[in-house]
Amino acid sequence: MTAVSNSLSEKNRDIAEASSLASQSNFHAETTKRLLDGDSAVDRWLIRAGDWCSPILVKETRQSLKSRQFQWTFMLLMIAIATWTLFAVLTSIPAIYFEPAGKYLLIGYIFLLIIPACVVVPNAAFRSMVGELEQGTFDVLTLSPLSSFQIVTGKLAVACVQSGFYFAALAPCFAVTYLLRGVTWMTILMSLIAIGVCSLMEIAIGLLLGSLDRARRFSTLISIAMIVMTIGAAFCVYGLTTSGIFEMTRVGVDSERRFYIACFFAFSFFAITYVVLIVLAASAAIGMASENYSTTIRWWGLFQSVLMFGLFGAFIGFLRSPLAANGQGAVNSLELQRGMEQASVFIFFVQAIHWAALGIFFVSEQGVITPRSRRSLPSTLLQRIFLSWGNPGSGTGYVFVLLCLSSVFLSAYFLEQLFVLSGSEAQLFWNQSRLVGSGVFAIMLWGWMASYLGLVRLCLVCFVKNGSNRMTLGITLLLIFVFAGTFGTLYLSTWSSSNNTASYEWYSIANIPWSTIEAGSDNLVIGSIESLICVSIVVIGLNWLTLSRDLVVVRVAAPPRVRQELSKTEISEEALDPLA
Amino acid sequence: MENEDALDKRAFSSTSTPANISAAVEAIAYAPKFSHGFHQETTPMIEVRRIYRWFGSTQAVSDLSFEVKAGQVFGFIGPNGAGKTTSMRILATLELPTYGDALIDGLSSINDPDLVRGRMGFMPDGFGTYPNMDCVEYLDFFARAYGLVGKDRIAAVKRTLAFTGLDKIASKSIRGLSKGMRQRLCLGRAIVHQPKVLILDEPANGLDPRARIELRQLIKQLAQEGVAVLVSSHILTELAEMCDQVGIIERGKLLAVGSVQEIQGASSTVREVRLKLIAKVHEASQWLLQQPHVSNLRVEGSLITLSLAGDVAAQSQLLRGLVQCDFDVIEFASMERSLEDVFMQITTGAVQ
Repeated sequence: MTAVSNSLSEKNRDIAEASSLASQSNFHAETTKRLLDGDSAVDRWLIRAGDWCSPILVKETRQSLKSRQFQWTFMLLMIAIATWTLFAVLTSIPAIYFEPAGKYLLIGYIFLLIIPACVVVPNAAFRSMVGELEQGTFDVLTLSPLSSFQIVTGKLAVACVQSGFYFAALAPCFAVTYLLRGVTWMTILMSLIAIGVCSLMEIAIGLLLGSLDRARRFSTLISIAMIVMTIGAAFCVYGLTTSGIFEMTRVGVDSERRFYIACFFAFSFFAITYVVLIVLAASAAIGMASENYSTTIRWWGLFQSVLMFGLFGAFIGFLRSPLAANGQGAVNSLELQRGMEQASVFIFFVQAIHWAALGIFFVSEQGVITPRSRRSLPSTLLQRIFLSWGNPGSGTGYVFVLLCLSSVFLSAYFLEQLFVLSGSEAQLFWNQSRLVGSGVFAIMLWGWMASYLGLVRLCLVCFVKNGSNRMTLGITLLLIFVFAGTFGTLYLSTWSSSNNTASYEWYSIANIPWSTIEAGSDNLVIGSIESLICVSIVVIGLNWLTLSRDLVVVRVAAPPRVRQELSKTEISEEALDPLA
Repeated sequence: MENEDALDKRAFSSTSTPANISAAVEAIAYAPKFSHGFHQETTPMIEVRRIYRWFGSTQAVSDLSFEVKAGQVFGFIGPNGAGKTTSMRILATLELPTYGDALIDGLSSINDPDLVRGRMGFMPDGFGTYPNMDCVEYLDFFARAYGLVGKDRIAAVKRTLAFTGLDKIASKSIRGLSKGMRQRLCLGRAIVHQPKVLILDEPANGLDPRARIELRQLIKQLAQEGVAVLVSSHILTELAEMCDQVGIIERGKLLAVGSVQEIQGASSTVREVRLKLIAKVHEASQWLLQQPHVSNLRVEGSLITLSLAGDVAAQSQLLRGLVQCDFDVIEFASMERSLEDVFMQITTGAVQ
């Protein structure tokens, strides 16, 4: 009897297990179907829409929306919004009924938005890139046909989506601040754009930092730098936005406000071009070794330079327009002249910093072009003359930087001259020596770039044959040369003087800060500029001798097997294109 | 094409930086095939041409060349640090050689990795999974990454789930998967886009016997479908069972290559022979000792075991001699050596 009952209970257990397994299997099958096919019209539409999006965006959105970091940040943000709204409204009663209270409420909301948008999201983007390296998923990700640019932009897009959620959460609050009066819609829009651009820039920097240290040697250092950078940037953007809000509410004259708004949008637009540059650099850091990323970065750098020059032209145009004088005709010529000179010197310095930052990476490149890169080199004579400077290689990079800098400086200087001379009143006040002053700055900056970058390149070409740390070495060498030029000449000048006080000598031109101050007050000694020009010519000449290696490389045809494969891809793309 | 001497000089004067590597590779990429190697009827799906890889002063891979055709399983055997993973990573476009080229379906993995990646699946030693994703999400992501859209993508994911046996746990989080299941998931990722070439680095590492057998069956099935498979493993018996070709690598050099039988035969200059006689065992042993290639003779009752230096012809000649001398031989067999024996004989155990 007992044996029979045991046997029955065993049978029952088996049946129960089998049914449990079957129900589990059914559950998983159902879930799989739901995940792949979608179980509602909205799901199916979203799944279809996902086919048009970057796979990284789909994957990371799924991951990030499930992550505790997002859930907690969003929940805390909502609590903080509610708390601040209640606090601000209750403390403003009864004044809120008859006084504008939007401004103070807005400042609080800006603070609440900056924390997730400028601290949490950029760090999450950085961790996302670093996490790929730490979890060993980076290899499998690179193995897919996704390009490095797609990977980086996918991660950027996900971070933007996250930021978008935080912006959306605060959108009704900003509407309330507008209704409470005290701030214009333009002020609110500008504040949001400032935070958005800062967040975007930080995300891009985070992705670049995450891509750079693939060997994970400086991971802790980079992580700390990222946190410090985001917190610092958050404080800066908060300070700037708040002061911007006060400035916008304070400024009474329409022309000044318009100028302020124009400058803000110009800077924001320009900052976005740097986001693109950083994204290109991050893509290059994780991209295929055989691919040429240098040329794209060079042309983008030139585009930024031209854009900067265009903004400079627009600024000069604004100074000469009636708008600048509050509708009362041309601005006072002396003011115009001073304004343009200051603008010229500013634009020269910004351009020099831009090209120095790019230039040090270009001159640190290796001078050998991969066979894959050779397939897209310029082929005709004209193309080779004008476009070869965009080819990868330290020599072409050096010449490219100098050519771009020369063109921009000359154009900006002539533009400045042209606008001043075109005004009849301006001619009366035209002071030859002061106008030449901005030209002196241009020559000095050009000379420093030619000399310091050229010296770095010569050192790398002569002493560093190869190695993966050329970029780091290049930056280090540049810093060493600039510091040696600054402190070496200072020491020399002190040592050579009888009373142990440093006086500006002709060789002090190597000292960038001192020379800038002296040039600003027209106190440069005779021979200093000449010596800088001589040194630049010698350095350029020496670099020219070692340049041929970068220029003799000629275009090669893609192998037949590759052509065959590429033609297949083109055909299939045409077949898919409904407009073809 | 430059001559090989010139290429060699260029190879050794350069280092492992991408630009130098590519410059050295340029001349041999897409060039006519090397003269030594296999006789082939069809174009090989994997073709490794004289690959060298240096890490500083350490030579990880040295003059490595081999081919794998469609539908073949090529086993890569070697001790730790032999250069297996480096070679596989070079093929998988994750590493650059100092010199040489690796072609997948006729396309260079050094110069055209973007074209190669779509037709190859690689399963690295580590898992490379996202712990906070489900199995189906993971496969769905890689299907999207390989450019599969709409119904094709859904079909590919379902097919992969069914093939790897993961359909029953498709919605389970990867964090909760066992090692064997993760290994299956990684295999699924590698095959979701139906590649022509599959590269598996130690796929059976750490798996229980059942999971190993199942994995072996999956690999065999893929090969039957025409996929060229390159697999490395420490478990030699397993490789012997599933591989059509085997390559033994040590200190970056390919010491032997061929089918398991070829390697077992080619590697042995001395083979163990066992024979049994009805009578005259003592006389027979005396006769055998007088033969030129016989050594290590041992007698246990009617059973004689000896070492014979020579190939199968020498073996046959010995048997003929025994019969001609009127010895009553009832059993004569050369003892098969396992792949492990061959591996131990060929390799020295040296690590770089």
